[in-house]
Amino acid sequence: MEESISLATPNPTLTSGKQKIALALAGLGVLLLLVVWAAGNAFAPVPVLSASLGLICAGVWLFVREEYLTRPEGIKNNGVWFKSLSARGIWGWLAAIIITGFYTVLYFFPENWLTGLTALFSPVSQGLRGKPADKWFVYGSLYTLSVLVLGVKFMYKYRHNRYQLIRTVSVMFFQTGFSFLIPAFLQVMNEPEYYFTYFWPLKDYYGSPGAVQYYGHATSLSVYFIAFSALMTFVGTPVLTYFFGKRWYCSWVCGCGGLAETAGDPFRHLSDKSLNAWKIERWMIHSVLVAVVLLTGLLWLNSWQQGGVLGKFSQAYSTAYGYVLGMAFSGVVGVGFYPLMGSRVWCRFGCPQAAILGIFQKKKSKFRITANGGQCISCGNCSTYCEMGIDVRHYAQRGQDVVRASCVGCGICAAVCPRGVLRLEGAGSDIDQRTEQLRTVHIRLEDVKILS
Amino acid sequence: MNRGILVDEYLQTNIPDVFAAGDCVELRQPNAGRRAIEAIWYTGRMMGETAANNILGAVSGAKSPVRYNPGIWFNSAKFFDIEYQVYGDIRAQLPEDQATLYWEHPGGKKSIRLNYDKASGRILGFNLMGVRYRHEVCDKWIARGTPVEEVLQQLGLANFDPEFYPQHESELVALYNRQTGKSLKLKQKRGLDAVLAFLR
Repeated sequence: MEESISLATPNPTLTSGKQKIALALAGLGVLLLLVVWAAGNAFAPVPVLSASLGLICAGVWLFVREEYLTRPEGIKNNGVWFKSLSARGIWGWLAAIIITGFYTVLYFFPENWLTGLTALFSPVSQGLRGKPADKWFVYGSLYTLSVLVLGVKFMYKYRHNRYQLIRTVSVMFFQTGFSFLIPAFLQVMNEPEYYFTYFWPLKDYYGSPGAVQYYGHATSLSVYFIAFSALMTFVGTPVLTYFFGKRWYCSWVCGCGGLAETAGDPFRHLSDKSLNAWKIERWMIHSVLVAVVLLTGLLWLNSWQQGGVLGKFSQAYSTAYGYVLGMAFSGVVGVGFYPLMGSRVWCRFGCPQAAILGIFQKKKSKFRITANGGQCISCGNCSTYCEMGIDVRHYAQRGQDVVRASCVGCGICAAVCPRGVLRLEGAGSDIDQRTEQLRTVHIRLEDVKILS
Repeated sequence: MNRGILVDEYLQTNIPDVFAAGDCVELRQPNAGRRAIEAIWYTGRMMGETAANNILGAVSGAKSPVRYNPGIWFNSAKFFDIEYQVYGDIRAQLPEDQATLYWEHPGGKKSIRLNYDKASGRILGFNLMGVRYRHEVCDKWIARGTPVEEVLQQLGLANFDPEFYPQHESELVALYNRQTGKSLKLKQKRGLDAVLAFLR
């Protein structure tokens, strides 16, 4: 191959030899999990699990050191459109198939399809909760592990950016504490399992009469759990979104967001930026919101009428909602499609919590992304790396502040901007005029006539 | 043609209805303090907008032509991983009648320079490495000829760095106090509400 003297060399070395070894180590760890899964037997759980997790952690660690610490700090997205894994190549498709397959088995197959993995994680479960692992414990452990390990990777990548560092510590903390450890400890203390960082409508069950009935009486404490959820749904959500925008939840607290921001980071550029995708997104996400409101309304109506109104129908509807949205969409597609459609497929097209937060963010919130005067050079990095598929550049070019219902406030657009044009911030004095100013457009379309 | 394609203040060449814009252009009468050839991205963009207006609007008679007015000089770039911004008039050699306040972060990757008129104290320009300042705020200070001491006390208005980034404005005020024996205090920290009130 002839050596190119172009600055943007067409034949870049994307993955060094050391990195290939590191990836092989991590791959070996994953392979070990797959072997245990396929064999349906953990053999010796403690050594095998330690070996597998050790290999994964060591592999990722070595890869990260080589990828980021050998170069000056600053965002490194070199070659994302050329690497097989992050550019929908063979490895990308393979990853999508493996993750989708895992989720399908997890949600739709009987528990005994995962006996190898549950046996593997049982010692951990015994230690934490005093009982053997079930498939949900396995899932929770792998999920938390992904957020932690790949969260550390993310922090090395963005180590010069304090907003990103603090935000990532936050998602790692909420995932580990509130979605993994606290639910486990609650069980040790004979309290019902509860997730304090999920509320109605994302966790549709917490808004149902069944949950109110159950948590209202389960233990002397559990009534406060369900009361906390209700408070977050009706007071916490609008108030926090008024002050901070949607990000207080979507990119700082939420577990789905946590995985998207860490494990999903290498795929963020794969989100569709087209106008059509935006249209589909608005139809879909608001339809899901309507569906969940209907679901909860029906359940309450039925409970009030003692099953007199549409009793069988509401049961079937509830089951269907759980299968189609709770399992197939948020789980299988939501994570399985990371390497194909970017990291926020569920958050963007399906999550009813995101829909509500988005409405508040758009209508009544201090939050916006400010465009700094006339500084945009139209490079398009902001749009490329927006995981929600927002065409940020469209706004930045005209010096218009960005107020979009879907924006989760991850701050990556501001971080990848080579001219420091974008800033996430808030002010209360101009909420209804946030997007009115077009700083760099002096001539309106009405002022000119196209020559025929 | 001279060193560039010569155009008038409407970006029209000597041939009627033929316009030029961008790096190829040499202005016959540049604004005071500006060069006839300014081949940078931002001037190119502003010329493009002006030329498009004058072609689409003025030639067709829908609108009177617009003069090319790039306003107060600004530019930005990125050198390796260090961002650079400039607002206003910052010369390579400091003119006799100007004074400068230069602050540098101990880490060596951030610096802020404020140039001002020695006699009147009017602020003339900002030069920033590794720190982001707000374009409109700096622009307004320079356009108004705001005294450097007022700028320093309000300096937080200009800060455009991301949230949780350290704010160095009080260090600049302290530096100025050390150099001049004054005892100014930073009255305004970073915050959008105050910026909106200032720009209104």
